[in-house]
Amino acid sequence: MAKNPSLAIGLDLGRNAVKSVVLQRRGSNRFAVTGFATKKTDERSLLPENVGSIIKAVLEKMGGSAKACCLAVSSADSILRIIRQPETPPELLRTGLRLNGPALLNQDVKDYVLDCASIDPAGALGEDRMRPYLVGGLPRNRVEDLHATMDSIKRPLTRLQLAAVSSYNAFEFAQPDIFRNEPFILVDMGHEDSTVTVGVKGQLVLVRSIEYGGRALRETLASLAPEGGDIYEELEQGEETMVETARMSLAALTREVSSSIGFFEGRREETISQIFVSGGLARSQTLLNLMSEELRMPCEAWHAFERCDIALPEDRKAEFAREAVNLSVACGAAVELLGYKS
Amino acid sequence: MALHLNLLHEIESARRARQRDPLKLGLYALGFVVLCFLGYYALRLSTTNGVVRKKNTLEQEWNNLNPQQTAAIARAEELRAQIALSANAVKFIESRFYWAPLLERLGHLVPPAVQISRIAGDISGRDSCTLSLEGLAAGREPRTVAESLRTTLANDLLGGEGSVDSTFVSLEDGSSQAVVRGVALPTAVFTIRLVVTLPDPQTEITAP
Repeated sequence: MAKNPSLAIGLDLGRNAVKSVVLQRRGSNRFAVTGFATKKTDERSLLPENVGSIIKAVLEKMGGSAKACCLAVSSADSILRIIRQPETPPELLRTGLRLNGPALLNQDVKDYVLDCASIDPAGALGEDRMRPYLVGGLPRNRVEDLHATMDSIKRPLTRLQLAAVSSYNAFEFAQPDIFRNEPFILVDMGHEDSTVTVGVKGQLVLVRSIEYGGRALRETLASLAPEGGDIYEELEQGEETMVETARMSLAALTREVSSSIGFFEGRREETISQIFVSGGLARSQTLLNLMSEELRMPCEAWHAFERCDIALPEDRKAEFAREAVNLSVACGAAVELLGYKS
Repeated sequence: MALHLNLLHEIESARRARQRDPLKLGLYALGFVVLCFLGYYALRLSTTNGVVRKKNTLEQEWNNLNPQQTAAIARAEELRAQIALSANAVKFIESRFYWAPLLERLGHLVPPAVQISRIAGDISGRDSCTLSLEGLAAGREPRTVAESLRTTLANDLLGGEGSVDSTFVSLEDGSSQAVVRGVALPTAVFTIRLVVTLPDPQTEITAP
């Protein structure tokens, strides 16, 4: 088995920004952030021919000499499902899923690259002798494009991951006690959509994507903000009209989050007491308060670096503190390469 | 528990398959063998070139030396002929019969009452010869004088070494008289044949 690197780059290829972090292992269970960078993107820059230059610019801005690189991708055409199957080796299950996509995943996945992992390999099998598996996939041409792109900028990929899985892994890295002992719900609010992940005692129970993100909120609030003003600043100032409009806009998200919590609590005799929010919108305390009010439970922004040393220059620490909630996916990608075990 | 998905697994499998492709590995092996052959060929070529260079050098040297060799052979033949000639001359000289000591000794042995009128010699080898002496012996008993001469020659010609065979071919009374110290004495005509064998080719006959 290959030795885990001591230095790894985590890249989050989002639809609004590319984010990256460099994590360094400084002991058996000690890690440090030695670099980070973010760069806003638009639809044009996410075209296959432009992605390379964006990622290259981010990596150059971040610096560092790490070779291992994991890319986490957010994509509307990605697949992320939990299925129940008899215990099967992953290689066989991949083939089975590709050939029987319509039956197992309710869609044809012959043009997808799929991978699967057992969610609870050590757990006892149920009465139906089935085991839950997480299945993730991306269109094959997208995988090949990304691989070729990273090769072309001399940063060959070590791993390609889905953003939702990286976020889940980052939470385990940052909050191991809650991850192992309590039910939890993660809401990663992205630009185009948000991902809701529900887990309990180290086991993934539900993962779903909701078509609501920062873009929808911004479009809703844009007409209310004064010309040239910053929407989020206005929101933070507590301007009543904007807050109420934001509440109405967020309802699309909170409703789905609430139904996810209801789904979980309806199936298990456990109660979720807190919502962990990450992503760009989690930087706004007003939005977190609105979500808390709507969902009637505390919504807390979390970031993945709570147990990391911050080995950054002084002038970048303030910027990092602002961006940290938005770097969870990148952190989760890097952690995967460093071989963290909770 | 952390979830580990890797959507690069197909690309990695394809890469591994490419790396382990038997055709590719075979081509690598073939390439290696070809390289070995090329190396061997280069080695042999350099060796051969060295040999050819050496051969050319030797050929050139041969071309330079061949006329000299031909001339030397001719010269050797010439010298061999001269050596053979010289050797023959030396042999001829060294195998000649030395008459002078024999005749000197013969002269000393002939008494005053005997006159040698003719000597004929014949050499039958380096160390032997045949002499024929014709003469006239004078005395009161001329035959005795002739006999005495024959005996003296047989005993003393070589001083006791070698062998001298002395025989009369003819001995007859002479028809004339010879005056010796004012006295007229009868004569005898004789012919003595001497067969002389020298003891050793190195032995020189010295005067008594």
